[in-house]
This record gives sequence, C-alpha cells and structure tokens, in this order.
Amino acid sequence: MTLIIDQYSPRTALRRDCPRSSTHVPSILCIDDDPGIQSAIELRLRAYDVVVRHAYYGMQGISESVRKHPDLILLDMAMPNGDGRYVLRCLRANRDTVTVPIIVLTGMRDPKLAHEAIALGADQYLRKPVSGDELIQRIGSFIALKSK
Amino acid sequence: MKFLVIEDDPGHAVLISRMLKKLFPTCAIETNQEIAGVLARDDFQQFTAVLSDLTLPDAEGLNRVRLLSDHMPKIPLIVLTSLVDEQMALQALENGAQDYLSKHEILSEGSAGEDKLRRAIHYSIQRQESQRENQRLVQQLTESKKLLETKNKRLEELCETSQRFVDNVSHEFRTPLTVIKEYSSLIRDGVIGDVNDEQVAMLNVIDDRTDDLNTMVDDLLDFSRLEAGLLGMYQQECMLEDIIKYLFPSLRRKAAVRNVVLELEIPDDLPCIWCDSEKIGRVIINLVVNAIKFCGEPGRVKLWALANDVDREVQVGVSDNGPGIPQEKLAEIFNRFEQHVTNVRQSTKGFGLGLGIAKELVDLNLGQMEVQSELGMGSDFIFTIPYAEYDEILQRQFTAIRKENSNSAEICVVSLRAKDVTDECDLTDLGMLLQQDLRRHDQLFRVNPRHWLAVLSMPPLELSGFTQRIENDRREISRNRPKGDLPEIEIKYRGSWQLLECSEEQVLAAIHASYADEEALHVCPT
Repeated sequence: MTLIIDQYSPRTALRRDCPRSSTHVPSILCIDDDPGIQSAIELRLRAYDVVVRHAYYGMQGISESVRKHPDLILLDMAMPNGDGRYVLRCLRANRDTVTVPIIVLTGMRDPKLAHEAIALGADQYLRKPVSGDELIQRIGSFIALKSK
Repeated sequence: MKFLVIEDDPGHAVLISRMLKKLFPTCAIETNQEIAGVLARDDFQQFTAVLSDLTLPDAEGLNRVRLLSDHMPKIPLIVLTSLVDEQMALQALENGAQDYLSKHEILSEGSAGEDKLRRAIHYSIQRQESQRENQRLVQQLTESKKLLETKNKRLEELCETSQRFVDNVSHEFRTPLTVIKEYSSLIRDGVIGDVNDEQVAMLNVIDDRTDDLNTMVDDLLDFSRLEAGLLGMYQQECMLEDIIKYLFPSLRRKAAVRNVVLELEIPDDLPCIWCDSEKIGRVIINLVVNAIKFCGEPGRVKLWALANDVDREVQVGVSDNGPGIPQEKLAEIFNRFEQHVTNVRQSTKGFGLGLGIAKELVDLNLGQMEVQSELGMGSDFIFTIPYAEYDEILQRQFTAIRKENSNSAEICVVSLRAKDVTDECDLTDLGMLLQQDLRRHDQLFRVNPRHWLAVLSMPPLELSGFTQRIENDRREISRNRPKGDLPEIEIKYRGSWQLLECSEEQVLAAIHASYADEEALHVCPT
C-alpha cells in the first residue's frame, strides 16, 4: 500500500502567487540513481507536454535544481553523493528552490522516514512501486499536464 | 584490639584509657592531643576504633568529625563531648561518626558508664562493618548496572544494525521490482506501441507476480520488525470504507488475473474505527491474496464488513469457496511458516508469513482475528477493529498490556501540550513526531488541536527516556527544518497505575478525574 501524506504547506500559497505564462512547458527533474526508473518515468510522461530532466545522485540533483529551475522534483531517498535528506535540506535552504514542489519516491518502508521527509520540506511521500496512473495523478496535482 | 583516643584534656585521656583497659584488658591504647598529628599519619588500619573529643584546640566540633571520617573512612569513630546536645549528636552522626557519648555520663556513672562505653564501641564496630558491606553492595550494584547498560547499548546497536540490514535488503529488492513492474505496465498500457489481448494478459501476469514478490518483501520486513517489537502503530480515527476504496481496484485486478471473482459487501453507515490504516490495509491485502490463492474453481472471494454495536467493533471478513481447512489445522493456521494446503492456484508459494503477520497486526490494532472453516465449505477469516471510542480503546489497550506482562503491567499517563505554536503545519509535524516515539501498546489521543494525551505502557521510571526521545527527535527534525524549529512540548505527568492491582473501571475513572479540572476528554479526529 502506498502511503500518501498530503499536507498544507505555506510554500503552496507562495507558489500560487507567481503563475507561469500559458506557453510555458513545465519541466520535471527526476533525481534517482537507477537509470531504469528514470527512463520508465520519462516513458510514462511521453504522452504529455512536459520536459523531463535527470540527475543520478544528490549533488547533481541540487545543482540541476538551482540551474534549471524545474517546476517539480521527483526525489529518491537512498542515493550516492548526497541522499534524499541532504537534497531536501539544501533545496529548502536555498531561496531559488524553497518553493519548488518535491515528491519523494522511495523503496524504503521506515515510517519515520516519511515523517522526516515531510518535516524536511517534501510535499508528498510515495512508496515504490507506484503505479503509472497514480504517479501521473500526483504530478498533475502540482503542475498542469497537457496531453501532446 | 587497638584504640586511638584523641583528647586535649590529659586527665580525661587517662580516665578514658583506664576504662578501656578495664573493658578490654588485652587492648592497646594510643592517645593524641591534637587532630593535626592524627591527620598526618597513614597507619589507621591498625585501630579498631577511634574515640575523639568534639572540641580540640586545632579543630572545632563537626568540622573535626568530618575531617576524621574523611581521613579514615573505614575506622569506626565515636565522638565524646562534655555537652549533651541532641541536635549536635545527630549532626555528628550525619558527618560520619558512628556514635556520640557524653564524657560526663561515662566517666561519672561507674559501671553504668562503662557499660555505655562498651556498648557504644561494639555497636560502632558493627555499624561500621555493615556500612562497609553496604558500600560494597552499592559498588557491586553500580558495576552491574554499568555492565548491563553497556550490554543493553550493544544489543540496541545490534538490533538497529540488523533492522537497517533488513531495510536495505528490502530496498534493494524493491528497486528492481519497481522497474520490472513499471516497464511491464508501460508496455501493457500501449505507451511503447500496440499490444494485443494475449500480450496484455501475459503482462498482467508479470504485474501480478511482481506484486506477490513485493508483498513477500513487505512480509519479511514486517516480520523482522514484529520480532524486534519495533513495528510502530500510527493509530487514529479513520473510516474502513476509505481504506478499502484505496485497495480494492488493485485487489480486483489481481483476482481477475487468476479468474477469481472478488465481491465487496460493505454497509454505507459503518462507524469510525481506531486503527493504523496502513497496517489494516496490509491485513486486508494478506487475507484477500491468501483467499485468491486458495479458493475453489470457479474462484469466488468476498470481502465484507459489519458493525457490532454490542462489542463496539467493526468485523471485517474475507470468505472464499476453497477446499476449507481441517479442524485440527485451524489452530496452526496463524503460525509462522505454516502452509498446509496445496492448490492448483498456488503458483507462488510464499514464506507462509502472511496470515501470521496479519494476526499480529490485528492484535496490535486492539482487535482479534479468527478463522472459521469446514472441509468442502470454504473458509472465513474474520478480524475486528474497535470503534473510535476513548473508553473502548483504553480497555482493549489495558487487556493487551496485561496479556503481555504477567508480572508487572504498569501504565503511565502524560499530557503533552505544544508551546508557542504558529500554525497548523507545526501541529501536524508535532503530531507525527509524537506518534513516531510511541512503542508497542502505547496510545496517543489528540484532546484538542494543541494538546495530546499519551497512555504509555511503561512504569514512571522509564518516563524520562520517553521525554528524552521526544526532545532528541524534536531537535533532530528542527535542524534545517525549512519552517524553523518545531515548537517545544510541555510534558506533564498525570499519574501511573498498576493494571494487575486495579480494575479497568478504577483506572479509567482515575484518568478522567486527573483531567476533571481541565478540558473534557474526548477523542477528536487527529
């Protein structure tokens, strides 16, 4: 069973204040050390007008987030060179990335981790495996997904 | 036998020495007029006891007693004085003397005075010996405590390491399983290109078996956590319909893959229940998956629920049309690694952990699990979950604690209040923090938005550990928390009760009474 924690976050209100232009193509940064999962997510999103970028370890994820300003980040927790906790701390401490929605996707089942991730600033916490439909639905709750 | 007499009056020194010689003819006596001379030597072991005047030229009163007892802690010390002062006598004893005698009484009362001195010397020696024995025992206890603490710490570390190992192994299993599942569903959903019905059916089988493997990984993880007593429950008020609504589509898909019809029969008006929704979800998954594996041909499984207002609980059942379980096997069905029926549908055998885990998860959620079955008539697995009612939950909690601790079943009640809360987000995080610090059989109720009541299965002695855990976790989470530090929590001890000595009604009444002067206690949605 996938655990979903929805939580009111002041960042959500902040995000609503700065709408993107109607021609803006949303971008998603996927930070996961498993290329298989990265490419599965990209394939799943192929039908939508969305740019998917990849980072394969924590530090790369932080640097990509700061440089490319993604509209949403999908974040794995167990990774080399900066795990999910570290990435969350850094992204939430940075003015440029403090409001970007982050969905944590993890294979870990420790319930403490879910609470910790939310407390560190994740917007949602999903346990792998997540069905394609559910992932699309969750992403759609943060950014407008338009079919190609 | 050798005595040391410290006396500045030479006449008194002679009289005391004579009396000692008379009482103990073979004894040796040494006299000294000043305390400085005594403190300078280090051969005290030779003395059986020291008799000292309270007032000497170089040290006054209690100060002298303290100096002497500190300098020769193992030698009995009897204080002699010309004053008769009860208060002074007590203070001399507190400062390390074994006894206190008036010189006037022992020197002027003849044989009665001699008796007093003899008794005082004997008792002082005995008292000193018992004091020494006590000190030895205290030291032994301190060492044992230290040893136990070290071993306990080591065990905790080992337990943590093994848990981390199981967590990591399960993570390593889950990652490739996720990839397999996602790729098969990408192909099945036609994302890569067209697929025909036969291919879809095959991909559904891959999906189904991947789910089986995932469930087995979950079972292993839950099993190890249950064994270590580390599986925390996040119980709160919830609706059974919501749990089932979330699970049912995937369960129905799973049943369809194996040509089993899965029916659902849930009344619309079920009351709120008190449980960890994720764990109850796992129980339902395990029971339904088990029924799908073992049902008959054509397969039919029914998931149903009923409200039982008499026992204040909801009954959830999973019924199948399988071959049934022989009566002699019914008692063993929830044992771990127990599997007795072989069936054509049973392509994935599993570890035989599913039913055992389901039963333990139900127990931890204060319910009961049972199985009814007759050969050839199918099986019904039924479990219960209590209504979200304060007294009902507590009574069940007390029963569970008593069952597990036959010698000492103590509960401790504390109230937890958030200080300086700025918004709802802080309170949500605090609620989660408190939940994660609960142990097996603890319960947490939210009395009002910023006030919780914890009924903990522990003696008051362990309470400091609980409060320390909360504070440590609060600090840990506060570190780099984007919204700033979590608010502090004010923890108030409300009382503790020994469940084996009090009736449930008494304890419930006492808990209510402890809150009589505060807000009315009720369970409100967390």
